[in-house]
Amino acid sequence: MNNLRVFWNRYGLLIVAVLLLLVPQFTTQYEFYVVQRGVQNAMLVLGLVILIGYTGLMTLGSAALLATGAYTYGILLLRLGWPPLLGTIGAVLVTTLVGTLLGFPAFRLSGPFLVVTTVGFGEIVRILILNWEPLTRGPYGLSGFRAVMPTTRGVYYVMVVVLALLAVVTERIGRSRLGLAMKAVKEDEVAAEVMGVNVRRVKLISNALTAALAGLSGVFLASLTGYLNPDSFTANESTTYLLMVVMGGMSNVVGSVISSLFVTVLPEVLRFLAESRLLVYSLILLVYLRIYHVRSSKARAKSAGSRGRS
Amino acid sequence: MSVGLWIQIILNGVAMGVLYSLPALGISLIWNATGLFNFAQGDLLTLGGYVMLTLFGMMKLPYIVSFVLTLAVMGLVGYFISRIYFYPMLEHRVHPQIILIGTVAASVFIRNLILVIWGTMPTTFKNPFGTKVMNLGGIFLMPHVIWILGIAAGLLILLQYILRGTMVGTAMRAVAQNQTAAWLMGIRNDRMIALTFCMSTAIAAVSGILITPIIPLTPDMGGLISVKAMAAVLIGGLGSFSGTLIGGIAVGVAETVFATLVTPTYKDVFIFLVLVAFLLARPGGIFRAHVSEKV
Amino acid sequence: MEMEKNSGVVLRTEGLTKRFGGLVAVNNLDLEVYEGQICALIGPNGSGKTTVLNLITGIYPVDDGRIEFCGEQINGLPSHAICWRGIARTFQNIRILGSQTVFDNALLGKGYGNGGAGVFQIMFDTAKHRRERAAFAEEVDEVLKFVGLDDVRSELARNLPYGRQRILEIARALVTRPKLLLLDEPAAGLNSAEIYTLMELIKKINATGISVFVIEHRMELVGELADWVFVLNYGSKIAEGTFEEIKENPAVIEAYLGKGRD
Ligand SMILES: Nc1ncnc2c1ncn2[C@@H]1O[C@H](COP(=O)(O)OP(=O)(O)OP(=O)(O)O)[C@@H](O)[C@H]1O
Ligand SMILES: [Mg+2]
Repeated sequence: MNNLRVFWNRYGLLIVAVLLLLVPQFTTQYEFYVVQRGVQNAMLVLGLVILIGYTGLMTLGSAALLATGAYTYGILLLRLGWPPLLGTIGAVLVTTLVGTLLGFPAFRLSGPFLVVTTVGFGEIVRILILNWEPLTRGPYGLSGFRAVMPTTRGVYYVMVVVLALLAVVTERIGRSRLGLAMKAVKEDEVAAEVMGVNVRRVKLISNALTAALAGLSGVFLASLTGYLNPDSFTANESTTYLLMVVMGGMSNVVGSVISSLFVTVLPEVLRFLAESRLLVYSLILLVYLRIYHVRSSKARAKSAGSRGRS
Repeated sequence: MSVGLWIQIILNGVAMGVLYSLPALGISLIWNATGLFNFAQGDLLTLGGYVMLTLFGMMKLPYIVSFVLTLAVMGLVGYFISRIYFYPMLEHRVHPQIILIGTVAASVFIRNLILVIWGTMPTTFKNPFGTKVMNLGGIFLMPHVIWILGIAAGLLILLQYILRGTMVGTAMRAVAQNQTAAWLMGIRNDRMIALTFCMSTAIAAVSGILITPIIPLTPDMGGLISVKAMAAVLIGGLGSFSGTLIGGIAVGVAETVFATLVTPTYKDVFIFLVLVAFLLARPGGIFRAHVSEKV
Repeated sequence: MEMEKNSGVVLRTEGLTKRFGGLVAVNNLDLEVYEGQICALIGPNGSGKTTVLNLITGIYPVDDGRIEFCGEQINGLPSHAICWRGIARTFQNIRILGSQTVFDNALLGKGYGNGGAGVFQIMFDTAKHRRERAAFAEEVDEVLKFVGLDDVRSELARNLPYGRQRILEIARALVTRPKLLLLDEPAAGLNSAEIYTLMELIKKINATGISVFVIEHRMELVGELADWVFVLNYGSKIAEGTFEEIKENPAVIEAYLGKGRD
């Protein structure tokens, strides 16, 4: 059992990546599209591992950052005629900038207050996209831009490789001094600050990294669909991303990748779910939180009771 | 613009505002009792509106009967949410971040439950207060504006009485102040917290019922209302009854004035920006002194 | 003479004042801690001792007065910057990261943002990052050995017994390489054997040249350790001196010892 765990920790990511590379051989075109979306979602969720899992900053604004990345890419290509590679870099930079700005409220706010501002941010971005028609074509949606790679398979292979690299980097950050500082911010901000952690900087870095990943994910989303519409970036999408990272174990990198793929593919496997997809997801999340966390805090209380004193 | 027109705009804003104040009071009550910030409050409001739609709009029960039944149903919903979900989490000291995610999940769940039961189309029921514009000395108002103000005022007085003048209210406040001490005095925390949820949900439902003449019901309307109710709570200061009331009215008036004078398109954007500015300038709200965490 | 005295002062507060609403928690307080000293701050419950530490470490903003560390004003700096200058502390209620290992808890003392490998170096795991990692690990292990926690290096901090959690907090503070160590009731909740170990540890830390400022309730500990004692009552300093002098001071006996002795 223990050996299995060690093996999984070492090779889990590699196994998932190899399986993903094989996927195009076995799937129909539609199934392939769904897996592509899963990989694209996983990129964003890696960002949430850093922000929510490591640093403990909750957000419901991830769909808005995704939209920022996707729309910036589309606009740079269509309106300014930038080539895809440059467009990708531009989109990631713009999203990172926006996300970093979003980090400033996190200096003073935490918990529910922070979530409220991220919800507000999400709404603002959606309303702007809807109404800034000369740039975004509003409700008609944006289309006609090129993908990052000429072929669909090309896009996919690039995505899988990028995802694997990002997963390695996320894991590395988690184990580094920066990751420790992030986890300290989550567990006890005051103690972290007093021990010499520049908490503000750590929060900004978390937000910037998360935004960069969301922006990149947005570029790939634009590449996959070739069509962008404000309806694809609602609070519901943000909640789905939250579900993915929570079910993945919050700070568990490989777990979050798998959970992103699973949650994306699930409604396609269970077709009757399509309508009530979010109903089922949220129910799963509610039950999971209630049962798993109440049990684990019971266990914690027990071990504290038997070993500690107060 | 004439004074009459101004009064008209502001009264409309106040009516909208008290409808934000009601769920905001619920958020505030629950926060006081448990330290939990309920993101599902807006969706409970929506659910209340839809229950009313079924009872009054579809089953054609009399308005008063439907109103009371809706409050009873929603009160029970609140009670059970607390008993089976949030109280056990609080009791076992689950990490606040997890409980927060729990309230977000609850919000999505309720929203999609509504969607599955009642569908996505915006719906409404017959305006029971009539649709004939009233002329009060040059000020033109829809009758429901007057009714909303009246009913909300009555409800607030009743609420204030329950909290301050009855044993139950005293017990609820005792739990909010010090759970251990309250427990030692023989007050059942679980019941009091469930009762707080019950009351909060019922008040939110009142808002869901009254809001229909102004906004048609849609399954996801609760999201925006939640955020505005939270804005009300945060502007007014967490835990302050009158602060929350005034916060809600401020949000309603600001939004209505902005929509009339500037543009309705960006009214929500405007409210969010005001909210963020407030949060950053005064995290404790205007009616509360800044308190620092004890270390 | 004046110059000479100044150069030896590690910490100085002048007219330090903090109010919480109507309550004056710290009132016009003057303190001086000399290099290499162990100073104690005593006083009845609620007299404002912890608040003094919170002011020194920048957790609460100062209302009035100033705080100087090695001749420079530090009030107004953020807590992490105060830590980087060389002030480390422990908390009255232990604040370790329960879900991290003992090693990682101690490593936290290295902070973040004070130079060293940046985000990109961590992401690409550059040679500089790897060198830094190794150096830090060695340093942390040394400190864990110094305080006697090397045998539980990889345990989760929450699984340690209470007494060792307190020691872990001290280890974390030492990893910051402080010039001045602030301890807030380090002996609270310890049994007498553990208190003895703690006392030896504090002496050992002091012997390495670190000044210590300790808040303590137990008189035997203060008498054993402190070169100089400050007494606080209702936020004001009512006496200072050696332990022998303090013991005889009628105001102190009235405020503190009189009530404390049964
Ligand atoms: N953040 C705060 N907000 C309001 N009052 C505070 C705060 N921190 C401390 N106080 C008050 O300031 C006074 C001094 O508290 P402090 O914790 O400094 O005392 P202390 O001497 O450390 O006591 P103890 O021996 O119990 O640790 C107390 O009356 C306390 O209630
Ligand atoms: Mg204290």
